[in-house]
Amino acid sequence: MSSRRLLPCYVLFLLAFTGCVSIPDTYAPPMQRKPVTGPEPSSLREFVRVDEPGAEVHFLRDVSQHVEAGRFRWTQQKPTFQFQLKDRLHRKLRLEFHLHSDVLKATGPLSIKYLVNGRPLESVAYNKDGAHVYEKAVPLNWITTDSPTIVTAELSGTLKTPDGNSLGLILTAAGFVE
Amino acid sequence: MPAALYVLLGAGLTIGAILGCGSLLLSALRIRLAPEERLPLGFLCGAPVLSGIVFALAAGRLVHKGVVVALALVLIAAAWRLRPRVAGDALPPLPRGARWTFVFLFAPFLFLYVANAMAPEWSPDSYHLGLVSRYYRAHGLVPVTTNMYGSLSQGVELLFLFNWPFGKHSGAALVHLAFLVALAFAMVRYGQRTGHAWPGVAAAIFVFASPVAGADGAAAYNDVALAATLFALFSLLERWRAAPQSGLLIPVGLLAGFGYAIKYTAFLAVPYALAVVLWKARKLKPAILVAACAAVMIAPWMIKNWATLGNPVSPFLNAVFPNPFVHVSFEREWSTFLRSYGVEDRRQIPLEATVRGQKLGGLVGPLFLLAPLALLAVRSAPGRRVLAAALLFTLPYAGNIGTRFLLPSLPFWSLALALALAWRPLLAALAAAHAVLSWPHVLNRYCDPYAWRLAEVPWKAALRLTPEDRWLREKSQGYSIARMIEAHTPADARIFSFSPLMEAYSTRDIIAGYQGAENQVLRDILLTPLIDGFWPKRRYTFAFPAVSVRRIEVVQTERADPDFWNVTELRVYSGGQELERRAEWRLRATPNPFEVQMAFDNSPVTRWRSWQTIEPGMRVEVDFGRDETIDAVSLEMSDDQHKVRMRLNGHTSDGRTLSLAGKPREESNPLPYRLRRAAVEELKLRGIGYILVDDADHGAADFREKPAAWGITEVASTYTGRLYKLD
Repeated sequence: MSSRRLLPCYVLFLLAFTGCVSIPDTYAPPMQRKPVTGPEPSSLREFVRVDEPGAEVHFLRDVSQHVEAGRFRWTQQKPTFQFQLKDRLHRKLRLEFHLHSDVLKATGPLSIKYLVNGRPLESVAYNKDGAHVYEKAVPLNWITTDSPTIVTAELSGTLKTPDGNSLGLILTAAGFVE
Repeated sequence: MPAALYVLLGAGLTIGAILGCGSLLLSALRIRLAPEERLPLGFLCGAPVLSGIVFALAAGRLVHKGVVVALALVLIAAAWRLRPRVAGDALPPLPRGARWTFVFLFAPFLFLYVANAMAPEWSPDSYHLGLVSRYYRAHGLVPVTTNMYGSLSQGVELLFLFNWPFGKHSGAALVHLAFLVALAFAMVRYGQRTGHAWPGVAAAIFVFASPVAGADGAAAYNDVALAATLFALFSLLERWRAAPQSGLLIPVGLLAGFGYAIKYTAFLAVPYALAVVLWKARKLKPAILVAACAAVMIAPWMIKNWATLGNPVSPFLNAVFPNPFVHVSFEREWSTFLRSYGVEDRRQIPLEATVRGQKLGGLVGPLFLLAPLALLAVRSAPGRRVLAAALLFTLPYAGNIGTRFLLPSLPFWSLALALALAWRPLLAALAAAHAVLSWPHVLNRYCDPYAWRLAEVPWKAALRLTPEDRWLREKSQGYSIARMIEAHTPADARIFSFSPLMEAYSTRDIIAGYQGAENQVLRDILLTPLIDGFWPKRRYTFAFPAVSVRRIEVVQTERADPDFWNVTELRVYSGGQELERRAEWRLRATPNPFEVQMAFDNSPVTRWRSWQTIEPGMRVEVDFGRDETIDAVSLEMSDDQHKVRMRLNGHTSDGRTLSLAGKPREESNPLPYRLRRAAVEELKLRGIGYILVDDADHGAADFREKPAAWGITEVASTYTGRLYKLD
């Protein structure tokens, strides 16, 4: 029968084109690894743009998980950040953000209180919408380098949306600069 | 040429080649089919032949566009030239009412299915076409060791491969849809031939309009092809019973074997065919012929797996055929899941499979709540034979209770039900009601919102008036993630992902967390820094008076279900100094010898695991290759194996066995390591360049928040998937 004649051909054909797997059952010791030791490096930076990969690690509260339009994030009332500084000298706190006209309509003039490691740095009132940059030198003894430095921006109010969210700043960057 | 025409060209060439093979086979064997049967049965008999041819081409890495076109044209031309001049007797005509019932109910569903099949393919089980795409890039079969789906038989996927040069994803779906159409017509013709025209028509609609048959048939799956193949087998066997002719036994054998070549669960087709032939013929010779033809279809898949994976039925029976590619524990866990799908109360299965459709992945339609009435078909001899086939091909369902695993038996249950309720008005009403209830707009009103089904008629996407990329990005996050990987990794990148990806749209080597032994090891390594229970926090030390031995073995002494035995490091000491692990040492473990090196690599993130629950007699051995004087052996182990009990034996060069120590001393093992970085370094050593982490994966936040600690950089993200490059 033709199919019977074909069978050995099939087997030979397959064996010709597929190498049989060789599976040993004893093994020599492998290459010896050198375990990595020492403290783990921090992923925190001194300054971060909110659309950068890994930016979320700097946000402790009240900053949206989602990047809008590929470049900004909404905050709520008390956005809080952490940054790892390499040095304490000549450091200025810097926040880059926009104020939306609808937010200002809802809140009136908006006051923002900036805190570094819990200490109030300054309160600033804003009454114009559009782009703003806040930048102010920070006393060096307020800053920590052996642990993250915590920054909070307390807003005097937010816009409440119908779905229950609150909208504050349109944040694009935050952190410390020299 | 417009993209839609390429789709049609690829599918058309494949369907034409299948018909050509069928026509040539039936002509060569002088099997005279009625003119009405030539297309459906010719197609279904031709499929195994073309699949076998493509297997041979693929084994020789000869699957090129030119070869496909030439072969398709030769087959079509030869079939045309050698077509039988004398047809068999025509079948009794369909009653007018039955004919129009069929046309009215069949046509709209055909339109629905063609539109969905031609639309860009985004079915959940993307591995079917992922493998096909991989084969085409290599122009043939390549060993796939990190995706256990690649070791399942792929008879239909080879037909998709034949279509691939032109039709790609949608062409494959159209080829699969051709099986559903052929099945419907084969059922109608069976009814005509056996004098049950109305039951044949009704049963064909029961199957054709069934929501799961439509969703599956319009996708690049293989369940509908299997259902059609088994029905063709049944149909030819019935014909052979009525008028035995030896020529019929060859397609019978090929179809029976092709069932296995499509899906392992159809292995019952072979004993079924043999039993029918032996029962009727009462001779061995016809059965041998059937068995030989079936073997021609089955053997290539078994040989392929034996040759490349050391297990002819991989990914099953790994305890019988131990191999480094699939862990025994995975097979058991997977099989357990497939038997339950997380459905705790099995009494939910009938409603889930017929009406709701979410938990079991699709629904056959509320009509099949009447399936118990099919047992009334036992009143007639044809009904009994149909019922026997229905029961037989339902048996594998116990092993996988997904709704689509009902498809192989669905034609038989449908036919039995129609034979049992043979009153014409009732059959027409049931067929119409079933069709209405299965139409997407009606279906959407009662099934679970997440049921797998066709929910629309995407004709614009089918004709590519909606661009393919846009349609797929709207429909599937998995597609966007696959394209992100394509855009941000080099062509030779190996990417580890905790979850399966839509590999049909990626050309990269993607290692999905559970799909193979190597995958599970990589997952284990990455999870070790994240899971306290995986750390080698315990040290077990066997201390004993110095002794000279050639070989030592640490042996388990008790059963410890459900724990695995895990050894991160095994160290041997003499006079307080660790012995150097010389190249002459020979390491062995039972079970899972293949990963024993991980207990001897000095890495805190790799470990030898039994990947089976702890049993007495499990052991890890070291043959020093010469006599060594030793006085202590320590094992660094995780504390996720509470009931572990071990003893240490030594073997001297003169063949004596020494019991060196019983219970080891247990103490904590300090961990001054950066486990995250060590895990990433280990992945790099194993060829992984990137990892894809979904926000829902275990430890996703840790990867996101501590990239420097891991030694990774996020290079892209989309939806919930983040792609990290290993620094």
